[in-house]
Amino acid sequence: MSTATDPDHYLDQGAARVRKSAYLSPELYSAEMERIFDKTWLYVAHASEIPNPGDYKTTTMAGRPVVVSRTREGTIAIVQNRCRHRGASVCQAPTGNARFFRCEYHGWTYKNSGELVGVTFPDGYEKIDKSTLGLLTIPRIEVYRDFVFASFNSEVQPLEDHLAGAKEFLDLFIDSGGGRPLVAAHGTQQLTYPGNWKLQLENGCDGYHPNFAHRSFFRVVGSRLHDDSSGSYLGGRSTAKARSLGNGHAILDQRQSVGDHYEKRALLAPDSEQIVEQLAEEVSDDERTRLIAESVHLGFNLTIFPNLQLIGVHIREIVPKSATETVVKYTPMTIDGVPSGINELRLRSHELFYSAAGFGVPDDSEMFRRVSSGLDTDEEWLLLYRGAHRVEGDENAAESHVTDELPQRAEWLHWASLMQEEKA
Amino acid sequence: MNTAPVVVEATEARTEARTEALADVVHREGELLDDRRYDEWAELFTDDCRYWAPYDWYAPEPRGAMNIIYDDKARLLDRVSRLTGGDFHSQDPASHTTRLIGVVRPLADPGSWTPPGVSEAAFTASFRLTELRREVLTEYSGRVSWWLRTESGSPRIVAKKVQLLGANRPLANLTFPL
Repeated sequence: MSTATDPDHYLDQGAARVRKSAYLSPELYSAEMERIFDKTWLYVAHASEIPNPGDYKTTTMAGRPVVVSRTREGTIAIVQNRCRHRGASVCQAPTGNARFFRCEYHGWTYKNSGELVGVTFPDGYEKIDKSTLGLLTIPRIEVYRDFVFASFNSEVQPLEDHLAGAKEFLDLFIDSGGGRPLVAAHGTQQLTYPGNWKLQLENGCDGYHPNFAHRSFFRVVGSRLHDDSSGSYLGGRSTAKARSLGNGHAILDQRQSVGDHYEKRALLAPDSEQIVEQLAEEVSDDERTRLIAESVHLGFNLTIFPNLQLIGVHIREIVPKSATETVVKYTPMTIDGVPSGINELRLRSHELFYSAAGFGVPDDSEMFRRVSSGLDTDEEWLLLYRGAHRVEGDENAAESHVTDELPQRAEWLHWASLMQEEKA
Repeated sequence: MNTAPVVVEATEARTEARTEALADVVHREGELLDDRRYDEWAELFTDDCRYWAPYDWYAPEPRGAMNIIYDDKARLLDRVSRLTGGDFHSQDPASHTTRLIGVVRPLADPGSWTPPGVSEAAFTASFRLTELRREVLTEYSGRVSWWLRTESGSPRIVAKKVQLLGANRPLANLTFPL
């Protein structure tokens, strides 16, 4: 393996530091796509995006255009969006419903599970074996409680093994509806930043940055709440924890430190007085308090390596575009069957922080931009050793202070192990 | 019956004059935004205002949708506080904008959304906005609609809706007001 794609060249495990070229090198990026994105499980869709037979959404997996569909039998199918004849895509819309995908170039027709069922003017072919000319499929698909994961690697470990310690928190996210299903019923918003995908990966469970990168957010929220320490649940003296969960997954657990901050924050939303008045007639006081607080956040940020993060009420998918360009998709989840006011609060809370005009995420993107600019200087290393002296537990189930860089180290170690495997 | 048309014309003339005065506020609003005079901009909005930019161009109303922006007056003032507070990283450096507002016409089809505040008239126009930040020019286009009323003798914005072309594509930094 050349230095250019050797993980040991980029990650100095002993010193917990990363070389700047890990965020810049196109050659390394290509190797990451092959050794990570083509080898491990990727989050692809939420089943509620395609509830009925024939429903589909187009998306990408490791750069490849794919169509995720609900088959007539109710299963999930994923095909690569490319006619086997001469290359044209067979499905054009972001979402829709179709019985078949027909290539409009020369009329070849496929089932949404990929089988080639129709070739036009077939007498022009002396012989054609349709069974070998289906749309390319994805070797492995597993649906964990409506979360659709897929892998290009037919030998990939079972999904639940991959999820490791993250499964417990994925379950908590899914169960936050209190037995009612979470649904992706309000679309997906996309943000882009001029920087490497791992900047977003590192940021999702970075408990050190909020009080600084999101200073103005906590200032205006604190001002509205008459509370000048509104970010302290993530501060240096917070009781919140960072944890590694195995396989590069991690959480920031703020459940013990946040108090009633989320509930108060939720009620700053437009129309909230009217909503709360209505809710008083619809749900009990206890459930109302819980649903309002959880309309902001469940108290933990979860990263499932390499492309999924659950933060606030949304599913976040990291979409690498190149070594220095990334798109991030945000799909806020509402709860099917709660009073509409609760779902309004969930949407308000989401757009307050995560919208392109929101009070939170644009400041993260600005930091990614500034990091990308800083990488052009002569300094070689980015430092990730904060809190290394106070980690408790072993590598796969370690705990540290919320502001420590344990999650980032766990992500990088798993990154290195996947990048390394090809060496053998 | 003979005098009726004259009365109607006079009423129409008065209405038109008042409508023109009302509509003028939308150009003032654009200038205040381009000049980054955000405190004065916020003063144009009524206390019961809404400032709405949907992700979905065709969203029928804001409360049940995911939006780019959905502010009441308090949240709009939060937005201004960030813009003027000196700690807003994604506006450091600040965006410099110029906007072209097309012909301002009465909003013939108000759609299915009724803003909560009472309005006297509603207008709509296409816009094109150019943003300069960090030596990069970014173009935005779309449609903007305003619901207006007169308060204490001055025109005020009861609601502003901005439909951004391509809101569903990957966006970067929309932290300056549209």
